[in-house]
Amino acid sequence: MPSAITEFIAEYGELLAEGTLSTIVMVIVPTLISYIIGTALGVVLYLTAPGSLRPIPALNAVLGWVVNILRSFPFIVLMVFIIPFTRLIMGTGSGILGTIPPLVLSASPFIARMIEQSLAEVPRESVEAVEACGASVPRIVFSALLPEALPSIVRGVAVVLISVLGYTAMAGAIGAGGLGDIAVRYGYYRRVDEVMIMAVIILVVIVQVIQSICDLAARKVDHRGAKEAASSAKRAKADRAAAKRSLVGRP
Amino acid sequence: MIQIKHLCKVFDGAEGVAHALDDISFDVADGDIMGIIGMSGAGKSTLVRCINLLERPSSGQIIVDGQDVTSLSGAELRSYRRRMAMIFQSFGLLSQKTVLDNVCFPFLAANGKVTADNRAHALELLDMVGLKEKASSYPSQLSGGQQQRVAIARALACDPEYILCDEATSALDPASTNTILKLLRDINRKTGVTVIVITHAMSVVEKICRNVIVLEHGRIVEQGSVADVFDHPTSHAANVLLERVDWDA
Repeated sequence: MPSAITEFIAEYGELLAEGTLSTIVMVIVPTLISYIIGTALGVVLYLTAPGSLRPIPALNAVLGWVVNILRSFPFIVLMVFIIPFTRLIMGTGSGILGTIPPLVLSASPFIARMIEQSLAEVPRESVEAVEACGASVPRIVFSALLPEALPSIVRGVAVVLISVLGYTAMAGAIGAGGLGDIAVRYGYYRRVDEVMIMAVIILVVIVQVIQSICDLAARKVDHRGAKEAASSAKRAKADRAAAKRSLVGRP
Repeated sequence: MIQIKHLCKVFDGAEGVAHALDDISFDVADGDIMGIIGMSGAGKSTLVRCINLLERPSSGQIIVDGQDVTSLSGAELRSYRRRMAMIFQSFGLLSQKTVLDNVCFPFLAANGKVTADNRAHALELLDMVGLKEKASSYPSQLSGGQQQRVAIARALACDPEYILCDEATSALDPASTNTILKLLRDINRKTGVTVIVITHAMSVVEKICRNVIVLEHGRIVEQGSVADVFDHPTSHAANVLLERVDWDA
């Protein structure tokens, strides 16, 4: 038995290690870029909504519309659809580099909505109180709104990372590599079940690690009372379930 | 001195146009503690939110020390709001900041930074409201009455000329209510700050106010000194608020 394991590692160890590494890179780099774009978009969506701090209904409607359109693309369709654009800006339509534009384009609007929702959770009176102190809108956003929404935003990070992890499996279809690609190639085409099972196990471990780290971080930064914290955690759980459902049924 | 002249506020709602405030005119003298009382929906919150322009009046003027403030915007509006501190029913503290940082927020809003002097001043204010030892706690670790005292310390950090209290004691038990009212009265006596108290509880008006305005359906139905209104209430609203009508009628 031990010799079988040694053989398996000798034959597929490097492949799986490389796959894990490229999966991690493919998750982290686009997510970082998407958070910069998504947070800015989310803040603008929040501020320009009717009745908010800087209501601009027309801009809000247009942005909301763009976000909804991007979110209604199944990821694999979006990826194929924008290949010419990806080639233009990345110089290639495939590989890890080729996955960054579609992942960013897919994750940013998702993040924008999550940030908008996290900001909307901040109690109205807290916002009005800092407004009544004579704070400017940028001051309200950076010193009050975003810090107050931080626990909820951190919980959202787990949802986003796990969704992007799901997308990277599909990105394997354009030769990006990664664990999802390995699982499909070895499991589906070559029928080497052990490799597929191993790839799936690593994916499960990655998801668990992301979830645990984010939950821990969210608890660490949360200074609200037990009641508000619990309701925010409950919402994050519902978001996760919705994100998982949206992955099921897509190739 | 605050002079309110023919103030109107109209909301365009789904059920048509609602006149939240209808031709309100009154003056608040410097150093006064003025009560604005009315039933829920009488427009008293809208009125106080118009005074610091969290709500824009539909028409009319608000003149503070000779200056019409209704047209203020940008930096002028922000500096006006610092003269006009506000205390809320559910406190409006930032739950992710410590008590001290909450009290320091007005300095941050005004200057973009908090200096050591600011911190020392904030600690003095916390000492004044009896919560110095809670400086590094978070609001969720405090009782409602304590949170409201922090909110008062924050309001004072602006070094305001006026304090607006929007149902400041409505969420508190009678003992905490008394603490808050005594605090407001003492601050008024010590610093001469003008206080405007919105409430639906006559007991609050009776304890600390000198003058009172009774609002009903967005209109002033009675105004005068607290003694006069309490002795000879003429409006129906005042009689109901004073519980001088048969409750079972």
